[in-house]
Amino acid sequence: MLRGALVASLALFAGVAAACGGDDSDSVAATTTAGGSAGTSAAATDECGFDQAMIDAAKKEGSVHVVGANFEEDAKKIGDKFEDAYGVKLVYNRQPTADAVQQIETSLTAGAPTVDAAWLAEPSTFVKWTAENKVVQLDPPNADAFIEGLRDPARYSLPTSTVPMGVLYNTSRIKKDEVPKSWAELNADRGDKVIGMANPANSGSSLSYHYVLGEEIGPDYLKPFEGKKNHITDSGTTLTQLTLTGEVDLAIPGYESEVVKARKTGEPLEVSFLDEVVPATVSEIGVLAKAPHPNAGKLFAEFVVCDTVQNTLGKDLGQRPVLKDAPLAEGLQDLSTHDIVAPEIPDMIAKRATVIQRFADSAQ
Amino acid sequence: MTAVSQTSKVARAADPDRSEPGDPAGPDRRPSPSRLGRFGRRPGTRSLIFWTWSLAAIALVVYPLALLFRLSFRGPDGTLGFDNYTDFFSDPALLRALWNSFWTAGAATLGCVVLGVPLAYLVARTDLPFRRLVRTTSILTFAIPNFIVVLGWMLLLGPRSGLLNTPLQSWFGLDDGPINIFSPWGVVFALVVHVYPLVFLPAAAALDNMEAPLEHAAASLGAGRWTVLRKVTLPLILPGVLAGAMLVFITSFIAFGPVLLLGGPSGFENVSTAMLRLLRFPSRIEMAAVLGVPTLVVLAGLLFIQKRYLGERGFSIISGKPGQRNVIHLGRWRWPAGAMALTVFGVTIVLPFGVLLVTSTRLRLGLPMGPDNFTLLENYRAVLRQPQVITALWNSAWLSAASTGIGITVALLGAWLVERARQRSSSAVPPAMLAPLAFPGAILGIALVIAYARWPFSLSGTLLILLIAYTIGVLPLAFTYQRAGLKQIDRSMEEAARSLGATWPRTVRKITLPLLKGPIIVVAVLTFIVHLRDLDSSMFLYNGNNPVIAVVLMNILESGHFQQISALSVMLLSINLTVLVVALLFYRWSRRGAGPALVSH
Repeated sequence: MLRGALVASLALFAGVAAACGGDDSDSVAATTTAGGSAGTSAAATDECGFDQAMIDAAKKEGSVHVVGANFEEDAKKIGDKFEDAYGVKLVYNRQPTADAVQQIETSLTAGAPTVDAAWLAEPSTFVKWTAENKVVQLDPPNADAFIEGLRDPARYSLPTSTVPMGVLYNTSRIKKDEVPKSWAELNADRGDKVIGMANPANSGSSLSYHYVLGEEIGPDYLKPFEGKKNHITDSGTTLTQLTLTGEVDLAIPGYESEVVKARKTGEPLEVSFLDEVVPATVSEIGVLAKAPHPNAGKLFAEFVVCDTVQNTLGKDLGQRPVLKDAPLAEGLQDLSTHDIVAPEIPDMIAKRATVIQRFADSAQ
Repeated sequence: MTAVSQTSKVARAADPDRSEPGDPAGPDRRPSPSRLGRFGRRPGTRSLIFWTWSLAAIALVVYPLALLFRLSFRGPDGTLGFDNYTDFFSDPALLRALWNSFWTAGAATLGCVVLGVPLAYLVARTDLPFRRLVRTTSILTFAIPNFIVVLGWMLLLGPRSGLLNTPLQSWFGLDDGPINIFSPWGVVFALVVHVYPLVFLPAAAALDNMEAPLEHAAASLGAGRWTVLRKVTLPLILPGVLAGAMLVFITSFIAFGPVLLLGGPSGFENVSTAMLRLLRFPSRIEMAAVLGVPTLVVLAGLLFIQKRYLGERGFSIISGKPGQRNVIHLGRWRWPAGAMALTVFGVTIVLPFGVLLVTSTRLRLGLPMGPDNFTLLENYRAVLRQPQVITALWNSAWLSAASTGIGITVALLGAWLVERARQRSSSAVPPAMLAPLAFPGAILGIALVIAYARWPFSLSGTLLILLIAYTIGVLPLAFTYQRAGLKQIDRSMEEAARSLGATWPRTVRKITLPLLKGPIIVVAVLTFIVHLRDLDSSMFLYNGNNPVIAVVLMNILESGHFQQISALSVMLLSINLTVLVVALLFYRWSRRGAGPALVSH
C-alpha cells in the first residue's frame, strides 16, 4: 500500500529536483509542445495538442461551469487564459471540498446537474464517482508527461497540482532557527508552545497529512501530543488567522500555497518542512458524466494540465505542477532533500476512521 | 388561580367594558354571535385566507421537506429502508452532542431572558439614560454572519493574543489570558450577545403595547410596584417573551459557526456540528432529512409546552383605551442602570464591530498594530475593486426586501388563522411555519434543489430559488412575533369596528394592521438584516452566477484576506444602520396624527 505513495514521492522529488532553477515565464508555455499525442491523430491541434473539433464543440457550448476548492482569484487567472485561448467563459463557484461535493451530489439526485467539472482538494471523492460512473474518463494529449505515480488510472480525474504541507509559523513572533526541523524535534523542544491543528475529521488535506505521518513515522506519532496545549480547528483557513494573530505558535498542516499568497500581501507567514517526510495534498479535476457542457468541461480540465497552465501554477497559485518537466516557480522552497509523499487514495479511504480516531485520542 | 387570570380580574374591575361574556364582574356588551359571523369568520373570507396560506406553505415548506424526507428512506445502493436513521441514531458521538446542544441552548436562553427582559423593562418603562440608543441598535447584532462576529471575539478574547486578554494578562502576571473564549462557555457567551435581541425586542414591544389602565388598576387596588410588575406586567408580556425564548433555544440548539470555531478547539460538538460531519464525509445527502429529526422533536416539544402553558388564557393588552403611562423614575439607580445598559451596548455592538473596524485599518494582520501597519482606506478599496461586490450587494438587498415582504405576509395569514379563525385546521399552522427552524440553511438548500431544480421549475442557480430560500427563512420569526402581537390585541376592538359596519378588509387596514405595526416593523427590519447576509443557504444555492454578499464574504475569508473581511463587515453594518434609521423615521412618520399612542413609542 505504502509502496505506491513512496513511488509517487520519489517521482515528485525527481520532478522537483529537475525543476529547480527552471524558467517560469509564460514564454516557456508558448513554445512547449504537449507531452502526449493521444487523441490528436492527424487532426489539427493547438499548442496544448487539443483537437480542433473539440475546441469548436466547446466554443459552441459557450461556457464551462466549474465548482472547486481553489481560491476564486486563482481560478479566475486560469479562466482568463482559457477564455483568451478558446473563447469559452469560465463560470467558477468556489466551495470548500465537502460543500462542493454535496452540491454536485444534490444536483445529480435532483436530475438537474448544472456543473461541468469538479476541482477538488480531496481526490478520494473521484474514486467513488468513478465507481458510480458519475465522471468521464479523461485522456489529455500530454498523458505521458505526468509525474509517475500521481495519476491513478482507477479514477477518472486528472491531478492538477500538488501542495506540500509543513509547519506554519509567524516570522514576526518565531525566529526561523527556533522552528523545529523534524517531527522528533517538534516534540522534544515543544515546551508550552500551542500547536494549532486542523481536524482530519473536517479537513481533507489534514486527513492526507495525518495519514502520511501515520504511515511514515508510525502509528504512535501523535502520542507526544497527549496532554499538551493543542488548538483544534475545522479548517486550514482558521489556522492561518490564528497563526497570524499569535493565538497559536505553530500550525499543522501549513500549506506552501498559503505562504506564497501571504508573502504577496506582506504577511509574516512561513512554512517549515519536516526532515522525516513532507506530506503533499493533490488537487484533481474531473468532468461529470451528465455535464451540461461536456466538451467545454473536458477542454477546461485538460487545459489545466496543459503546459501553458502548469508552467505558471507556482507563480500564480503557489502550487507545484504535476508535469515532469514543468519548472518550479520562484519563491517555492527547494525540497530536493526532502521526501514528498502524496497519499495513496484507496488506502487512505480505508484507513480514514483509524486516522481520525487516533487524532481524537491523542490531540483533542 | 394563576397570576394571569388574577390580572385579568384586576383589569376588568378597573374597566367594566372589557368584561368577558357572562362574567359577573360586569355586563356583557360583546357583539352577538350573529354579528361575529361577519367578522372575518365568514366562510368565504376564512377559506380564501386558509387556501392562500396553504398554497404558500405547501410551496415553501411542505413540498421541499416532503421530498427531503422521501429521500431519507433511500440507502446508498438505492434500496428503500430505515438504514439512514439507524446509522444516524447509532452514532456514539450523537448522544453527547445532543446533550451539549440541550445545555448550551438552555444556558443561552436563560442568559438571553435574564439580559433581555430586565433591559426591555428599563428601556420601555423607565427614565433610563441611553435607552433609545440601546433599543435602536440592539438589532444590529445580526448585521453580519455570526461566524464573523465569532472571528471578532477570537481577536478580542483569544487566551494568548486577545486584545482584551493581553492587558489583563500582563496586569495580573498570568501565563495566559484570564478569559478563554475557546470553551463551551465561550460558545454560550457568543450566542447570548448575538441573539439576545430575539427576547429583548418582543418583550420591549409588549411592554410598549400594554395599556396603562391595566397597571393603574392594580396599583389603585393597593398593589406595590413590585407586585404590579410580578402579577400584572410580566405575565402579560409572557407570549412575547416565550416566543422569543423559543427562537433563541432553537437557534442555539442548532448553532453551527460559534460551536465549530469556539468549541472545536476543545473537542466540543453539538448536534449541528456532529450532523454535518456525518453528512459530509463521505457525502450522503440522503441523510439530510434524518439530521433534522432531533431538532424537529425538540421543536414539537417546545410548541407543546408553549401551548400547554399559554393555553387559552387571555393575554389581550391592547383594547383601545389608552391612558397616560407614568414613566418610572429610577432615582439613584438611574446612572448605575444606565451604565449597565451602556455595558450591554458596548459588549454586543461596540466590541465585536470595533475590533472589525480596527482590523479593517491594518495592513498586515500578522504584525503588531502601529503607524507603519495602518491604512485608512486600502482594505475598503480592495473590497470595492472586486467586480462582484456591487452586484452582490444589490442582489442581496432586493432579495432580502422581497423575501421579507412575502414572508411577513404569509406568516401574518398563518398567525391570523391561529389567533382569529381558530378552526381545527389552524393547528397545522404553527408546525408548518416553524419547521424550517429545524434545518440548517445548507440542508434547506438541499431540499430546495431537489424540489425546484428540475423541470418544470428549473430554478437551479437562479435568484428565484434564493428568494424562495430567504422567504422560508423569514417564516418562523415573522410568524412567532406576529402571532404574539395578534395575541395581545383584544379582538373586541375588531369586533366593535365590524359591528359599526366596517368591512373586514377595512377593519384589518384600520384596526388590526396599525395595532400590529410595532411587531411588523421589528420583524421586517430584523429579517431584512438577517437575510442581507444570509450565509448557509446562499452558499449552497450559489452556482457561480448571481452572487450575493455572503458568497463574496466567504470567498474573501477563504482567500485569507481578514482585513478585507473586516472592511466588508463594517460596510454591511453601515448599510444596516441606514436601513434601521429609515425604518425608525418611517415608523415615526406613520404615527403622526395617529391619535393616542396605541402602539409603542
